[in-house]
Amino acid sequence: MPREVEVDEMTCELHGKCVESAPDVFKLDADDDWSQVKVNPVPDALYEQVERAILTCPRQSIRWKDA
Amino acid sequence: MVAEKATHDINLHNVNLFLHDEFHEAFRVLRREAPVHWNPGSARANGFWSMTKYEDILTISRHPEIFISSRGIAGSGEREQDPEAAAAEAARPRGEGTSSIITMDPPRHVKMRRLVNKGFTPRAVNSMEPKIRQMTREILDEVGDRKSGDFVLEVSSRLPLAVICGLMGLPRESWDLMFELTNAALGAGDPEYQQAQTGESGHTNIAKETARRGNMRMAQYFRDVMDDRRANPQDDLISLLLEAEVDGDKLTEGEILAFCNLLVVAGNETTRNAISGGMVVLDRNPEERAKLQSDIPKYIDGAVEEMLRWTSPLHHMTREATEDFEIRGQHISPGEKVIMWYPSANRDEDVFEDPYKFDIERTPNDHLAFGIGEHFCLGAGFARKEVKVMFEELFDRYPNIKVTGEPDRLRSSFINGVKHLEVDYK
Repeated sequence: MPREVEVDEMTCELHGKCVESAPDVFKLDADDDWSQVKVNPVPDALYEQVERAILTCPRQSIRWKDA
Repeated sequence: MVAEKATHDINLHNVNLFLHDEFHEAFRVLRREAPVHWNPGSARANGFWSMTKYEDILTISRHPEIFISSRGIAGSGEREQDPEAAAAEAARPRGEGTSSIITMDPPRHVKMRRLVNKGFTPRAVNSMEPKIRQMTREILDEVGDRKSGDFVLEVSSRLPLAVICGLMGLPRESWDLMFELTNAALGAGDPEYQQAQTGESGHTNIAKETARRGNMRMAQYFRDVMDDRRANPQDDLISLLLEAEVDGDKLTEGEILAFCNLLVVAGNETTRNAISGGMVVLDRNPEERAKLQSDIPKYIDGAVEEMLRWTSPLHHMTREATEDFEIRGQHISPGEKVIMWYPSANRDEDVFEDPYKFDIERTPNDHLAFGIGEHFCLGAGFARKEVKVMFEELFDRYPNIKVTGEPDRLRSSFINGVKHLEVDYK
């Protein structure tokens, strides 16, 4: 089952750790109000990046949709 | 080889442990022998669970609805002797109308936080960098040609004061008062700050009186500021809070006062100690310091993160369990206090390689100096920027600055504080 990742727009405070951890999955442009997911569902090869983003997000705003 | 303490000899109620670096040794033993450890109560204070592993602090932090903040975030709370009073305390509505976000739980916490958090994002902080640099240069201008002095009073306490007072729209003349009152609020267990507020020091009642006077004077001060901003709104946080609504209601006066109190205390008593503690650890690690000074643009970001990991300016945050919870084979019951020890998480051997080595190139360095999750430090971006700009400017102006005395440490198990630090600037 391909998995989708989501960012909680209520809690994201634009720290950008997800972009550092998973640059192929998340992006944060100057006018974004929360971190944006570039690819959903996430390709298998990028799962590890996403797991690290989930772990290190300061506000713990990232999760797998099915989790 | 120093004889190790058995875990049953470790009592983290003993504030004196935190006057020296002994607490790191206590945490090292707990991580290995009893990572989720019941610290019995004393005659005056409740018992509590100590969380000393990085992973367990993550777990607790990820459940803010189970491990709540509204029953107190520092220490384990006073033990209520009278059973009726204890029952009344347990039934008390949790901080309604008088709480700030640090002692607020979901779902209201995030709504309150969102009133102000746009002003604290890395983007907002970056836009203020020129201003922060100018403030830093003015602070160092005042040190000027002085050969030696007290780094805390003259340097490390000044920048956080300037930044937070600036955000709140408080004038330059308020800095000394804010410095005094936040010291009283958070340093109430320290004899120096007890003397300053009450003329006495030494026992528990004096500590309570010190905190009470500090908080009372702070409330008086902010009531006057609020009156002024109601009449003359400004582009500052206090005016913003006066106008703000949550779920269609304005904040109560108690909530605004608590918010102001939190901002000025948290803005002041933390970054100061990251800068002071950073100065001490750089001084004690001349090779790392020389590396940093050899190419500041290259090494400064890593050095800031390592100074934050190393100093962990806040020793702990407390939560109270609202449900039964199993962790590492231990059973936490509703009503029990849980204390997350950040300096311990930040030296956890399972997460950090060679954790007792100060390494400005440490990668990754996912320390928990700012906590994580629901209550992640709102001011983290400012803290990082202030520490960075301060050391850039400090080493530019005083490249040979040297610590000449032992740090005079705050007597507290909450704040990893340095009250005074003698240095030679030149």
